[in-house]
Amino acid sequence: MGRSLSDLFVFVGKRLLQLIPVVLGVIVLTFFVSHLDFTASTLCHEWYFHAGSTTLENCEQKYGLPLTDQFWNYLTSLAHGNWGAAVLGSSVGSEIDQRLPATIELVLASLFLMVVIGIPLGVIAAQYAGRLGDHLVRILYLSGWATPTYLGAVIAAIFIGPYLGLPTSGEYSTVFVPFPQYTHMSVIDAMIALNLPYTIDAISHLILPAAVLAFINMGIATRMTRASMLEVLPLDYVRSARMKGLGEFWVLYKHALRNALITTTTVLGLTAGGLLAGTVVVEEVFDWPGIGQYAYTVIGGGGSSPNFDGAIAVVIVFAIAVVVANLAADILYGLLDPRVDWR
Amino acid sequence: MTDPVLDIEHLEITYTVGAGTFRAVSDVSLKIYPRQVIGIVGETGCGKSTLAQAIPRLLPEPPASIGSGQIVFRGTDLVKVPKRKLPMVRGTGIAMIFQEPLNSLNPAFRVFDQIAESIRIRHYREMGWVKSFTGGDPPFDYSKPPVASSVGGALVRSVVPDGALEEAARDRLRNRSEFREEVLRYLRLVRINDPETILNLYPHELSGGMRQRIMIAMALSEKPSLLIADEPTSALDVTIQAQVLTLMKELIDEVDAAILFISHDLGVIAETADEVGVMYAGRMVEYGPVAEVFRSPRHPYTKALLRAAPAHYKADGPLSTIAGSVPNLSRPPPGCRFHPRCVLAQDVCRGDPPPLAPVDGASAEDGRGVHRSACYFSDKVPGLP
Amino acid sequence: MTAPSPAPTPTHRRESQLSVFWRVLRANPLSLIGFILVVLIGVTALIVLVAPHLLVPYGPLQQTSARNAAPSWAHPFGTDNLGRDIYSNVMLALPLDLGIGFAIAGSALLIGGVLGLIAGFYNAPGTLLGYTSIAVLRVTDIFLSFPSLILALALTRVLGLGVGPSVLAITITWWPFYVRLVRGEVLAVKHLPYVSAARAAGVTENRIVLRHVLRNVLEPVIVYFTLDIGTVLVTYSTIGYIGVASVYPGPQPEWGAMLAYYQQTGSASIYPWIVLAPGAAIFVTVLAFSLLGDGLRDILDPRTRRAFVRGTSTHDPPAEAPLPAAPSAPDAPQETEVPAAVAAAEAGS
Repeated sequence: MGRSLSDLFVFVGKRLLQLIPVVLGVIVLTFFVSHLDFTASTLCHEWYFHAGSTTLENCEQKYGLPLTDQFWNYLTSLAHGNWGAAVLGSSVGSEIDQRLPATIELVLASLFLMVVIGIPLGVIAAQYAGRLGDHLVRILYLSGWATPTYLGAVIAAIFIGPYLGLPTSGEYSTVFVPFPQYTHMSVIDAMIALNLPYTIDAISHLILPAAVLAFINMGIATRMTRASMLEVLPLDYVRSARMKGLGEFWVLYKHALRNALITTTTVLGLTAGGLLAGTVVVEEVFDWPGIGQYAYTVIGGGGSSPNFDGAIAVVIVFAIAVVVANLAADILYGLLDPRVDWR
Repeated sequence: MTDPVLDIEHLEITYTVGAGTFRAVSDVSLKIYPRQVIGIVGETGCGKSTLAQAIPRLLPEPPASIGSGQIVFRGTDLVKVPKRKLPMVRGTGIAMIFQEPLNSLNPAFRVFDQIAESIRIRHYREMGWVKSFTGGDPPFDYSKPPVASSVGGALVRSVVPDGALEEAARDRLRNRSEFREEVLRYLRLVRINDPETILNLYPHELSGGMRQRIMIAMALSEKPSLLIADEPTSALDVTIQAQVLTLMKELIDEVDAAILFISHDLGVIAETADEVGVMYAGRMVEYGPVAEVFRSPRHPYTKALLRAAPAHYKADGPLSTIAGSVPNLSRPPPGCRFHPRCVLAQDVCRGDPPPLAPVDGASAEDGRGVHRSACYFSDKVPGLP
Repeated sequence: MTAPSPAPTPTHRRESQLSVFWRVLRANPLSLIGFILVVLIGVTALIVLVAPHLLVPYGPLQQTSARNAAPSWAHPFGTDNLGRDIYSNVMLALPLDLGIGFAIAGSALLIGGVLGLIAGFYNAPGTLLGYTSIAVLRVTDIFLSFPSLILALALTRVLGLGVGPSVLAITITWWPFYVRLVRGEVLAVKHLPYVSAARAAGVTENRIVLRHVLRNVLEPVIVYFTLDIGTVLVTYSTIGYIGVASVYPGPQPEWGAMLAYYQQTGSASIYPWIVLAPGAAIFVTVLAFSLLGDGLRDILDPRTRRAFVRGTSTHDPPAEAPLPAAPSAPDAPQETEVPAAVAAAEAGS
């Protein structure tokens, strides 16, 4: 019906267009909320109290302008790709450019673990619903949910990492890597450079932080898979699949799960927010050079000096990431559910 | 002397839930021979669907359990087969079609994929890649050899692994267009006019009658020895029902399987079956050739049931009913389960339950075609109003 | 014998809601554990508030001679480098953290719930309430685009440090979830036949809302609220960890702040109990609420209830389940229709 390839473009395109007003709304909201309730001098003193007097003067000048002028300045500089300058060091924009891919890599790795481990656990929980297997799975994912990110990260870094021999800091074992970092994604860069030892090294560094994020956020995926499977398993087509002579494995994972996944993927989009929020702490604990770590510093975590422009930029970037993730989930849903018309 | 495809002996099935233990099927025996169509008829809750689903062990075994009895399919007692080996019997041995075709087809896959899956399963078994159940059993002696020339006969014959089949299967799996042709052939078998278009559609894009045809095609494409049809037309409107029944009747002549047809609709059974069994409260109360049973029933329940069916939809006065209601299967009445509602009931009916015995002392060599009734007073039934 | 046999179904008693609750709670051991834990925690918090001397041996800043002592009978969670009793600090933080959880979740529930109700029910286009609904929806969507932690963090920057501002910050971040949840539920119920029937019978709109709609909304909301207490607690202590909420050591300890302080002062790897104790406190509390909420969710959703009620059912083996309602084709991510249904499904299932 409305599901040919050209229809797919229309489907994706419509949703991309609907991104734009939300992104604008996000920028507006962030900007105005962050500029509330202070005068230029209090802002500058609070945020840049480490800096010297000229910087303070520039700051006061910049933030002394009327709000709408400030907003316009901000928008125009955004359009030029200028997210603002940091007080010390590189500009906010370049920080984001370098760090965002690393976070994306971390989040993707966590998603991978969540899907590969969490979804089969949900299937198992549905298979043994009400019995021991179900209870065990539930304890597992609820424990993950109940663990504050920093607690899990700290325990993993201090106790589990050394015990298993997994590295707990950074992307690689060495500070300098013998190949150019095109994508800023550790594993990809090492693979592009065809450097096997470093690829393995990068992967081993990725394991713990991704595992922590996955463990904590797995609950939603497992939960939803279990619920959908419980809904699907009594249906007639599962019986039909059994009567064809398929083994239980294929009945569950090909026929039942295929339908149960439809709702699970939508929920996976919702986990994006949790994963991204988690990166703030996880990257800090594991010294992973991503946006989360940057967010930690610009917000002023752990006593570091806060950066106003950086903070705004980070909030906006995170929000856009969440919106994009929801968009991806939406598209995935449209692909999986044959009843959805793409036009 | 032919062996039965399915031989059920004194089967007992109970359901255990919190509220009690329900004896859903009690002491049911049944034999199905190749190329026969056996109908099971009865009210809702009489145990016919339970019986049907128990044969391929489809019932969820925790609440349900098979107490005593045998379900012998082509020489093997399915009750004794361990659960993990059951998939081997299903599909190519026993196939089943269900009542609600929309729910019975996986909504996420196109028609082609669903039928292709069935065919592939059969091919893998024919090639011996996957163990199927028929291996090692003696070939069966069909009284009528399968007609290889007819379209249906060549398509639908029981799976006996042999070299020729293996070759053919391997060939077809390798050759995509031939495979597609085979899928199309089964669609045409069920009288679908434009099979090429149907291939790419999803179940929700098809009508109820079409879906049921596809279910039938899917089942038959595995060339089962036994096809169980559990109320296949009950969810369709009357006109579509007629079409599907006609189809099934035509197929019966063409395919080489035995069919077990479950329905609550007396008319449907009368039209399609050779022999019929009437079930009440978990027991088989009458059995015999369909014409005989319906024309001169020998069990009070059957007689009352036939009388209760409104004739010709005319307003002929109040509808006739059967007094009382179906017993609670956790506490069934002693002896004959129908006796509380039966006009012929005597003390003896409360004692030992009457066995399903031939009426009028009839008998036949292989026990086929014998009219039986589970009533001590079966000879009095023809005299009832 | 002509008396008809008894009816097929076993006798039904009209079971009160409470006994249903009990029966199914017992069927699911994990939720029972959660329930017991929650009650225990609540009672403990009350005792610590009202009669601290019963359970808390030392003051929060009180230094004892045992420095960095391992857990022992005198100091169940050990002491830190200045001899402060960890156990006492953890206990004293309990009422605060629990109170914070309830306060935030409760306020978010009230604000978001009311707004969700308006957005879902009183949203006739062209009326003042209708425009309000649309505005509420847009704002909610935008808020929902931010990961809650990030937004809360940013807000604390604006609102200032301390417990009060942090609570306010999180509450502002939190209410949109309830809007989405309540609105989704209201939408699901609004078009049900019995609501139309009530309307046709002449029941006023407000009455319909109060009696019919709210009753259906209540169940998933309660489930979500129970789970939320845990989530809020985790978020709050994460903010505390990042260092913008409470101050520790101080007269009023807080678990997240404790964890941050001890982890950053470096004694964690040598004396792990110092860090583990407040962490375990958070973990156990959140787990208790999660077990309870998750179990409740299973119990209240008729689809998953079957799995638990098999052994206690008064009905025959389940009939065919209905087709899962295919959600209408999803619109853009910021349209709260599907996310609401999913959130409702997520909370209700």
